[in-house]
Amino acid sequence: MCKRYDIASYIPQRPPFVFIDTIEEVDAKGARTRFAISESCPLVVDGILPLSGVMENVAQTCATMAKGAIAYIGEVKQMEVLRFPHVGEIVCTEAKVLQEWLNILLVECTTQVNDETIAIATLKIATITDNAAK
Amino acid sequence: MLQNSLYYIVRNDQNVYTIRFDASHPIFAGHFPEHPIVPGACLVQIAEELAAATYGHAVRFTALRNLRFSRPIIPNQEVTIPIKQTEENALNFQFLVSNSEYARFTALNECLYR
Repeated sequence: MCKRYDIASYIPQRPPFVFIDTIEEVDAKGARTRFAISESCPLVVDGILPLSGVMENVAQTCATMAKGAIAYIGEVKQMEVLRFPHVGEIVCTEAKVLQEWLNILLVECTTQVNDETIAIATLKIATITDNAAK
Repeated sequence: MLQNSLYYIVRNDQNVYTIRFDASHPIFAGHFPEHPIVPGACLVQIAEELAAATYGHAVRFTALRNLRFSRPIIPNQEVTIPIKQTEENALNFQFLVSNSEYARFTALNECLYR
């Protein structure tokens, strides 16, 4: 349970555009991350993380599942934000793979603050693996 | 606000905005090192700011529908963004580079809804 994950080896984003602090669990089928919202986060506006920032947190959570590969959002089929998380709050985002075709993952994500669901999203993540040389 | 830091509006012709990016903005150092790409999340935030400029009051998107990022936008590309109101509380955004669609989505907006 105390396994430590090095964020920089799981996602290609670097400061100031890193939207996860810790990876709690990750494998090919799902991931769970935590992110403390700070005033220095580049998408924070008026003390809240708007939909764009929650989306980036969700996307980076999904990207951890493609360790070593480049992962990007192809589509967001739908996303709802029930309330905006505030500076000082910690969001916990869980991603579950619903389906997988070749390099496309259909992922369902739920973002919570203290067990209160604040956002849900269904998105398609595309991955580019560096297998060509093998 | 990303406006006047990450991007600048160079034209606004009846809710068709044309913007340019500041390639030296710190966000590009992290997204991604040596391969700067405009983050998709920033396109959503830019859309929210342009919606506020259009309506003359703060806007917060509460939902997205049918978002598609077709091609990556790099910082030296000029992007044209037509905004269309499709329902009372819904705005449709397209991100065009040289008339090709690089991204699009529909955003639902709490302020308009009320």
